[in-house]
Formats: sequence, structure tokens, C-alpha cells
Amino acid sequence: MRSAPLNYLVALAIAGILWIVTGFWLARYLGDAASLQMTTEQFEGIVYVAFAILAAAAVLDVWYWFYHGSRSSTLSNMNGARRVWTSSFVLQIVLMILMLVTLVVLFRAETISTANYLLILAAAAIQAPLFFWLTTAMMSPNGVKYIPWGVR
Amino acid sequence: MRSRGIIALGPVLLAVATLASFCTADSVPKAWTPDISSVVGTQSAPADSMRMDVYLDGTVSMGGYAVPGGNYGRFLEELESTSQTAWKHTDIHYYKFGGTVREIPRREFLDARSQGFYHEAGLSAITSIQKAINCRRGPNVSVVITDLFQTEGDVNTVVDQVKRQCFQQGVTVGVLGIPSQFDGTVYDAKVPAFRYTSGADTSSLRPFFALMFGEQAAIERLVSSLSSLNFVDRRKFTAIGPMIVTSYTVGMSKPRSDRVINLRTPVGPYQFAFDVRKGESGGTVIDSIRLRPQEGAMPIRADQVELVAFKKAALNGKGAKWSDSTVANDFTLAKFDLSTGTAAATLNTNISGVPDRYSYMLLLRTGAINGFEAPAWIRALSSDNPTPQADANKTLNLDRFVLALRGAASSVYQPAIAKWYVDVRKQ
Repeated sequence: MRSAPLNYLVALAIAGILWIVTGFWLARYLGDAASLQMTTEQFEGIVYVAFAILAAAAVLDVWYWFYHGSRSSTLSNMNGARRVWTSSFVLQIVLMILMLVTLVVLFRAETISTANYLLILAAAAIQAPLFFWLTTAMMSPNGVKYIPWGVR
Repeated sequence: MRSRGIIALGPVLLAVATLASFCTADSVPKAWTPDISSVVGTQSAPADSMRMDVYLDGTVSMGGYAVPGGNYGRFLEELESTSQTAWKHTDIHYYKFGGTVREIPRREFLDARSQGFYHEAGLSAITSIQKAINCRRGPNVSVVITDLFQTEGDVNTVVDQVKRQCFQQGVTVGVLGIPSQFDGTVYDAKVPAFRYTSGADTSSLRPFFALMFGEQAAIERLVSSLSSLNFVDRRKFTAIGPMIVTSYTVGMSKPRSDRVINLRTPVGPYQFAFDVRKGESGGTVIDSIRLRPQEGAMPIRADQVELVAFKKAALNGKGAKWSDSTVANDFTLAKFDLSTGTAAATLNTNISGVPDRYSYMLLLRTGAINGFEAPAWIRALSSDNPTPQADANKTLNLDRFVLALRGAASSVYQPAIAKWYVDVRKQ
């Protein structure tokens, strides 16, 4: 699980499954729950795409971490590796917030409750920072496997 | 290594399969086969040949039009040649009518440009337009040339005849008004017969009319050809038949205030869909209808427009099979606005029944009674009491006649304005 290409492929598969839950199911749920001015398909399409972009960014970030962690030069600079992981994790949080702000702007004419926006935020957290933490905690190369937070 | 690859592919395949199952969940068979022919008719290839029966009013009241160089005489001269430009082969038959009807040779028809034509014993005293009404479908057009000067009783008789002979056969009636020079006596007014002479001013011309009976396309073609004559104005043409719309488009939106309905992307030009939110049944949608009216269609009275909704319910909850259609009150017309170029129909919805899928065919049609207004040109040429002092060159009861014809046609077939389909998912 920690060696290439298996960790790359599994990370991709997990991102896809999470997208189905967060993007697809959430879009369908919100399409029914919200009162929309745009068509339901337009609304769902925006949610699909937003979560797909978030998922793609998260996968690329994870892949970069796998690549970085497998380089021999990384093993001689563990503090640098820790900074890379932390920066990548923070980047996922930033992307999550950016996506939420983008959706709030795009959906400003729609009637979406605060609870539903919190649901979007939770789904984005699963799709981006949580996914990043989970996959790097489970499948980081052996040399950097203790760097993700909470891994002993 | 191979087994690890297969393990890794497992979640990917799972993801794809799950996605595919979601994508097919909403693809249901359509409840209706969209068909708008009841609104716009069916387009058939134009006929190459046409039989044209021309009935010329030979009563004394028409004698005043026989002015040398007048529009009436020129119209009679040009009718044959213009009709021959409309179709490759035109077989024209001429008739003279009054109290009776008889076929006349072309030479005698052209004699109608002189006064003598209108003094035939036994024919020239009474105008019986109903005897000249000849309605047949197919490549036939019948043209009745008359002054249309009719009492209320005449109007009723003629309209009744036209309804039975023409509208019930699906035949369209066209009315073309042609102002002409006039120097003669005006008979049959509510005042004693009086002399009228038109002047150089075009507003003093007195109109005669070509009543045309045939299929809409043939009549339009004839009018189009006749309008090449500089004294024929196709804006003075009105068609009365089963169809009033050549084509139309529909767009569906919802007012900003509505919180009940979520529109879905239309699946076709006349097919729309929306969801009714959980726990709700009614909302409002606005249908914008861009109409291209038939040439000569009479103005619609917006306050008389009706909406009819036919409903089908999904039998198994997913829309694989649908119930038979029934008339439903789930859509009602709240407002119909024709003040702009695009008609806007505001519909209130109240989707009855349990949460399920429903499909509707919506038909917007003109009112059965008083569904139309008289066109402006008809009102301008009409009078309910022409006298030597007022409206001397106007036509007695013309607007009454045209509205009565329209009413008779609508009683046989109420012209539709638009038809579209709406799928509804009630949550």
C-alpha cells in the first residue's frame, strides 16, 4: 500500500468514491432541498464540478507528497518534509474555503439554508483536507510514514 | 504485482458502477409523443395545379364599381394572370351570382367592367352569397367577389351556410378588402338607396371584397400573388380557419418569489420539467410563448384565452408506464399577457396526488366565444349604419360578419395558441 504505483491508484480511487458521496449525493440532496432560480441540473452541475476540481487538487497534492516522500533526498531533510506535508494540508484547507466562497457567490440568487452551506463545508472537508490526511497517513512512503499528524 | 493491481482497480470499478447507476436512475420513458400539428397544422407540399372558381356578384349594387380605370375592373383583369403566377396550372371557372348562380364564359366575366353586366333580369335584384359558397378541400380555391353589404339577417344566413359547408370541412375562409373607385347607388342600407361617388382622395374609395374559400396555404398563396397588384394591400386580409399559428416557441421560467418549484433543464423545444419541493403541491410558473401568427390571423382576445391540462401519472413510481390521460385542474391560467411581442402565460400549479411523477400536456387555446377581436382594417371599413351623411363608403355590418364567421369557425374547432408538455416530480 505504501509503494508506487499502488498508493497512487488507491488514492485516486478513494478520491473518486468520496466525490460520489460528497459531490454527487450532496448535489442531488441540495437540488431537492434548496429553492432554486437556476435549473436543478445547472445547480447540480456546478456542485459536481466544484467538488471534482477540489478532488483533483487533493489527488495531485497527495501524489506530490508520495513522490516527494519517496525521494532519497527527502530522507536526509525530515524537517523539510514535515514543512511540505503541513503546507500541503493547509493548502487543502484553503482550497476548501475557496470552493465554499465560490459556491456562495455562484448561488447568491438561490435560497440555500445555512445548515445546507455547513453541509457543503463538511463535504468539502471530507473531500480535501480529510482525504489528504487519510491517504497520506495510510499510504505515505515508508521513509515519511510518521510525518502525517496522528500517525505513530 | 498483478493481484495488487486488481485490488487497486476494485474501488475504481465500484466508483464507475455506482456513478452509472445514479446516471440511469432518472431516465424514464416519455409519457407523451410531442405533436404540435393540432396547433400549427401539417405542412404538405404545395400543389402545382389549382382549380379556381370565381363567383362574381352580378347585382345592381355592384354596378357602381364598374368605373373605367377603377381598381375593381383592374382586379378582374388581373385575377387570372396573378393566379397563374401562384400555381403552375390554374383551371379557372367563372360564375355570376345574385338571386341565382350560373357559370359564365371568360368573355362575359370581363364584361363585368361595364355597367350592363349588373342588370340581368332574375339575377341582379337579390344578393344570395350563400348560393356562391363552394367549399372543397384539396387543390380548390373559390373566390367570391362582392360588396359584402349585408343586413343582420343576411349575416346570419351566410355565416350558418359557411359554417356547415366550410368550417366543418376544415376549410379556411379568407377576406380580402380592396378599396375601389365607385360611382353608383348604394343599396340595402338602413336608409333609402343613395348615390355615392368617390373622389380623388383614397379615403373616399369604397371597398369591395374577395371572399376566398380553400385550404389556408392555397389562400395565402393567392393573396401573396394578388398583393403584387399595387392596389391590393395584404394587410387588408383576414383568414378565418382552424389554425392561427404558423410556429411558436415556449420557454418556462418561475417568478423569483416562488419557493416551491425547482425547474429542470428542458428536454426538448416543447418539453419541460420541474420538481415540486417536499411537502408542497402548488407554485407558479411563467411560460413565455413567442408566436408567429398565420398570415391574416385575427387578433386574440387575451382575456378569453383558456388553458386545458391533460394529466398522466406514473404507474410504478418510476415512470416506466403511465396511466391514461385525464383532464386535470392541476394547472390553471392566472394571467395571459399579449401586450408585448411575446405572450406570457402565468400558470398556477396545484399538483394533486401523492408524491410521484406526473406528466402533463398543456394546451393554450383561444376562447370558444368572443375569442377574437375584429382586425383594425375591418373596423375601419365597417359601419352599422352607412348613410349619405356618414360612413357613406363603408360596408354595412362588415365587423359583425367577420366576427360571426370567426365565432362559427371557433365553435367547430377552437384554434390553439400553443401546446407543450411538462413532467413533474412531486417530492
